[in-house]
Amino acid sequence: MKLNITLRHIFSLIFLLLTATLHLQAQDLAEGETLFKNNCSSCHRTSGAVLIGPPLGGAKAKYENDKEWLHQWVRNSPGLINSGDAKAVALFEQYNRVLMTPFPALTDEQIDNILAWAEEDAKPKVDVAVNGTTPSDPFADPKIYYTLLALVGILVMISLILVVITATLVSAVKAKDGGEPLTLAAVRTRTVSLLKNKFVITAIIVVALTGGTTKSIIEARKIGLHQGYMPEQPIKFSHKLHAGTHKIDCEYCHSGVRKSKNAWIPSVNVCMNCHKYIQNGPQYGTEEIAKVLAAWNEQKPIEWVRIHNLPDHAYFNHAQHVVVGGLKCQTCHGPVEEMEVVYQFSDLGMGWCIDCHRKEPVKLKDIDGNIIPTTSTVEDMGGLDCMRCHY
Amino acid sequence: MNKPRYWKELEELEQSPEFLAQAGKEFPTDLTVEAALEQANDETFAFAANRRDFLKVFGFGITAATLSACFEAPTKKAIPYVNKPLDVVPGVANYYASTSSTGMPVLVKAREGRPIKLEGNPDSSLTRGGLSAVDHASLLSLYDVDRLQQPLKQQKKANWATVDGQIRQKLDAIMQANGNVRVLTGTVLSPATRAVIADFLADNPNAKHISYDAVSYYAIAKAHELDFGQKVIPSYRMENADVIASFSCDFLGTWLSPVEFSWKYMQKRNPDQDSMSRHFQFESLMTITGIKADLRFPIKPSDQGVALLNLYNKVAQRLGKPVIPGVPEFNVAMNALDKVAAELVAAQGRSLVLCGTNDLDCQRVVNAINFALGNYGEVIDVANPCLLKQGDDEALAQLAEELRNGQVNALFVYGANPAYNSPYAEVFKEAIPKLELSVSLASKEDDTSRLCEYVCPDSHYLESWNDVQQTATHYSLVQPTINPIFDTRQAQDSFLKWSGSTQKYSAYLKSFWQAEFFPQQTTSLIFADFWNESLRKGVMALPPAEAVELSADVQALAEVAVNLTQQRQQAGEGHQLLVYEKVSLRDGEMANNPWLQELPDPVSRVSWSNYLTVAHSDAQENGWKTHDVVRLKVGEKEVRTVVYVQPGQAKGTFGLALGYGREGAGRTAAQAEGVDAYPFVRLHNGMQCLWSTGAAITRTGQSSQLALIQKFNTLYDPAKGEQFGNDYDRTEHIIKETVFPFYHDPNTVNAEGHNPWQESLEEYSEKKKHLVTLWDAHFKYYEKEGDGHDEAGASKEEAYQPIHWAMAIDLNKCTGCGACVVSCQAENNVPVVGKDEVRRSRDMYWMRLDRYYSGDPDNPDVVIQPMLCQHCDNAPCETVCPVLATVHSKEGINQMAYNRCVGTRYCANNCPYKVRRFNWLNYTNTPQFKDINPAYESNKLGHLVLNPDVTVRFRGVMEKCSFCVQRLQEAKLRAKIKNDSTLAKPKDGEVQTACQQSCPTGAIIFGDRNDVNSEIHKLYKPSYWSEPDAKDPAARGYHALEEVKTLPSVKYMSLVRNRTVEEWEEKEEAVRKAQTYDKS
Repeated sequence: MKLNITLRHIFSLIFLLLTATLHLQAQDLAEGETLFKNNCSSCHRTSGAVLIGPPLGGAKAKYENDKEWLHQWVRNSPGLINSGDAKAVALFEQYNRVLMTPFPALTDEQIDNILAWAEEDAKPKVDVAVNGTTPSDPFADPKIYYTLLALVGILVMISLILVVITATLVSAVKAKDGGEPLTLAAVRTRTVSLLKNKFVITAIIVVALTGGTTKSIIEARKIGLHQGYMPEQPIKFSHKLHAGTHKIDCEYCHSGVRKSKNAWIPSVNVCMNCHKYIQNGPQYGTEEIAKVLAAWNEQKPIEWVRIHNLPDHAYFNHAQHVVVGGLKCQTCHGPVEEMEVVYQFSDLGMGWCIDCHRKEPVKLKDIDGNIIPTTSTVEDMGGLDCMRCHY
Repeated sequence: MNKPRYWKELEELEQSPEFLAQAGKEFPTDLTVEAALEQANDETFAFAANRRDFLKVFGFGITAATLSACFEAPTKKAIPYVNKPLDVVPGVANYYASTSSTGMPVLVKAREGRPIKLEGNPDSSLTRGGLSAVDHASLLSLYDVDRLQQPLKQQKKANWATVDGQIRQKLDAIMQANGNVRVLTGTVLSPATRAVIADFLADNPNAKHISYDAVSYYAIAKAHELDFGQKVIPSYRMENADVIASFSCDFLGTWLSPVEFSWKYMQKRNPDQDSMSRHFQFESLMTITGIKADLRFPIKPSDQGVALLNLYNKVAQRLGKPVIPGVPEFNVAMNALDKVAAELVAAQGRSLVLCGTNDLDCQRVVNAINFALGNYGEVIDVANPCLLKQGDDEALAQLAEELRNGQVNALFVYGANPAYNSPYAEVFKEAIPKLELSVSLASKEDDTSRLCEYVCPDSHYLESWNDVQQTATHYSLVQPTINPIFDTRQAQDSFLKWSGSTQKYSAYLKSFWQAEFFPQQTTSLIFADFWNESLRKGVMALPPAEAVELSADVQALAEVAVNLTQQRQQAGEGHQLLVYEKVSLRDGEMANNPWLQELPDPVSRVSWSNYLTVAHSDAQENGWKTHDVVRLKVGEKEVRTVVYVQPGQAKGTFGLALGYGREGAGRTAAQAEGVDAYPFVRLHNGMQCLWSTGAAITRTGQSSQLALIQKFNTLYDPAKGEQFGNDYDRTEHIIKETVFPFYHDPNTVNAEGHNPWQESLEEYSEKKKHLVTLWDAHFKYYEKEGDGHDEAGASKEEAYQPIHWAMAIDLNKCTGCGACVVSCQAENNVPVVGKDEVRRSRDMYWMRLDRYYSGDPDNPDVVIQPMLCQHCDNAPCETVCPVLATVHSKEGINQMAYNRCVGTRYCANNCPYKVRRFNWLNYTNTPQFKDINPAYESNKLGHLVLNPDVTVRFRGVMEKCSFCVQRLQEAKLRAKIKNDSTLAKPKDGEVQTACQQSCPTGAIIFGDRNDVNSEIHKLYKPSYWSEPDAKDPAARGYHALEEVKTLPSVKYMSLVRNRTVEEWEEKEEAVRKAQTYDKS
């Protein structure tokens, strides 16, 4: 009986969740998000403070009964203001007389999608674990080990119970057959003799040693490697926003990457090219940008924490890999454009370097600059010589 | 036992038991670990351990290591610029043209705004891109913590405003009263600075600017004034001289302008041309110029004048000119003077007689000989004089007189240290504290600055603006490459300030050039263009003036002859002391420079001290031995010094180097040993004279080990020589030399009808015939197929693709000046290890200059051989490394991976060339290296000189020459980027090793053997087995120790001296005698 009730509850819950999702999907949130990011995000946020225009999170509810007007406004706000529409003029005055760019190409449906997504996005979110989301290895998460440990515990318990049951059954059978009942002392003697068995001892030692050594080697190989290293930076700089949302080219800031062994962290004057004008950010408002401005005004360099540290005594050259090798930044640094906080994506160990040098075909360009298809790797060109990297 | 033809030290020639015991060992001490620990100065080693202590320490160590491994790695910061300067590309070096303090044009390599390396400026027609060891090392003086860091008043810290104010106040008072203001400087090479000083003194008719040199060249200028009416030091064009006779003139090492003279001299020393110049050297001590000479004659300093007079007479006789009467007959061994006179006359107008002694009489005889031979014009150029030394001994004498009489009111000392290195040091010491105003503009505390009331420290030249004029037509600019590190101000700005000018010197310099030099040139129409271009190039040459007809007044020679004859008579039979400049430390101004202190003397191979060189025959007669501590007495003066027996030194002479033993010269200098030789400088007719008579030494019975580098590193095992039979001498396979007639003409034969050179070539190719290797894959190239084609006729693949790096070193061009050694040290972060470690043979040089003697120990032949990792294709070190830390690269480089090295030292043991260097200690934090190693961890300033592209190696790993792999890697990358091709290679000349780049004579050639257009390709024939033609320069090439079959990537070009067959026979006789030489 009880089981039935529980099942019913669960099914209804799932149903509810599904309908909710379906309901939201009716307004195509994905399209809304894309449109918002491409068209609106430079002046609007979804929630929080005013950027240039108001946050769009509340717009849907506010204009629920006035959708027509809102669509008109989005498509041609200057027209609306010039026509003397009272609501439009009031809005214009309220936000510092900054004209909103007209978007005549947006359909009603698209505008609704944008607003729907904005409302969805404005809802307070469950923290999607900004920290520690290393995408690659599920085993990097310690939780999995606890789960495994718990499973092992349960198995041990079950086997113990089974042993007890078997023992009870055996003794019952024996008792029934009239044999000697199994005493606790006899069990102990047997166990002790089993444990004293040389084969068992050797086996335990071998297993322990092999396991221990393997574990030590695996751990030792990680010494000096800091994959996933995600230090806190003096400024909460978001690559997701700059490189992802705004699609600023990596080389705009890391301009050394084609000239030098260092990619460079941009000097403050590079930041100031944009932040002279943009002084209010979508995530932290003025707080973080103010630090950049302060560094500029005081002419004091920003002390970033270095994330990518090569192991000692190794030489690496960005120009070699980016210009000659034709590699993308993401090959080694991972999806930086998706990182709110940058972390070390690759382990940067020698094994990792060598792996690529052994497997990846080179982009061979002949002396006239024509690309020659080839399967030869860096290794074939001498890329495994010690003194390519160690001197 | 048979003795080797070439020997490194007298012990080896004598085959002393001590030598034989050490010779076969890689690590040449018999010290047990316990004894070594007991000896170690370092406290951390100094405990005696039993088993329990050992276990305790061991256990603690393991625990500590485990725990420390648990800590998080330290956070590293990445700090970008606030506003990145446009021309700074972090990670990529910038080069700026400038000029060193000795006036040599340099390129400064700067990384992120700090100079890390100097190179010669290849645009300079004066140096052609060469740079001396001293100039290379001057970079390190920039990062010297012992530099003055702020102005001082009465030796207490002060600030510029106070000091300037007080100096101005006192100076105004003195100037108004037309007091005697004196500015005493070293040679001021800068025309603009001379103008600044002239402006500074302009308003006072009683003010004077006096300059002097620590080692004076004044007699040359004075002699030219007396003889030709022109008080100049002429320019010497050795490239035009067919015969050079040099008297005590070390023009390749220390005299006047050695870098310039080195390349010029080598123009006529190429045996692959149709003729070579002849070079005779008459000298008392053994200099690197002497060892390059075709014939060298040891003579006493006192005999030099008479020798010159005799030479004059012999020349005059042959030319049919009147001889000087009353000259005592004198000749040197082998009737040398007759021979020299005959050859000089035969090469009339294209010969050169030089004398390095600052003696007016000698210089006048030299002038007379050169004039009689018509050498003025093509070889000696008076119209375009050399301006590198402008010191005036007479003016200095006058100043000393004024000081003695208390006639000077104010003294400004700039770029000079008269209380230490002038012959009037005592006068200065006494008079300066009594002056109304005494100001020193020294950049480092020195003997004079300590006496002065005010010290206004000058900036280093790498922090300053300036210009330099080396000759009448050669100019160059100095530009700052770093902001002043300390609160210093360049002296010119100080003078401008005290003159009341508000102009900065940088602006003054610019307007000076606009007024002076802009009108003289024709290339640029706008001054800004001219200035920028001059600054970019760093050098400017104006067209030389036409040669002028000289009218000589040589009537006075009779009087000169009387003086010189008297001088010889007065000298008597006693020993004579000659103080001299070492190639490394020169006058001692840079005594606090660890690179220079560690650089061994090219001939004696001793570093970190000076010593008394004595002649071999004297040493034998008196029982003096190297390392003996003796008391040297000349007149009233007495010092304790250490004997070094120098083969080839003139009998009856002692030599003592200048520049050592200065009190308070700095922390590095304090680590050096040695005595101050300046007190032995005397005055002769009012001029500085470096030799004196009446020297005597007495033994103290003590001994002190000199830091002798080449006592160790024996490249051959004498015992092995015996195994191969008596005729077998492995030293002959290290050095190969011959004489020009045999080399030039295969038909030339000696008395027995042989051409030894041709025979040696045959012997050599015989030796090449068997090839043994463990590395077949590497040796497709070497397989004995003859012509580089396999059986099917296809061109054989080169094992090293696409590049095969290789080097060739021309022993004929190598002078042993040591520039490559310091350059290598700077480029590769080679640690400085100090005298104790050098004594233990633990020097860390990747590139060293081995010196070998042969023949008569009283006048041996000397060969200097640069020795570095030979990058053997069949490397013995690679086969013995248990951890594969040293392996061969695809480009033929013998690689050394420090990360892998576990320090077994098997590789060093197995290296036949002894070029591997082991990091015995942690040179960056063991206290004994604190004051000497720039990489020492607490020496934050010294760290700035390190090359960021090269690892600083840790204790326990092996290191050695890498062919400057960081440069090769960079050049390859640049070529690929520039040509937008993965297959692009650097062109010949686009990449140079540090040693190659610094060599003043171009003795080192480096490049890609596979590149058929490269110079190195021509010296390495297409196949190992193909024999070059006898006339081909490649025929001169050989590999050291060919018979061990290492197949090195470094080739030596045999030495060819320009001796006649008769002279060769005589020398061979001497070699045979020496080989049967017995100490008794």
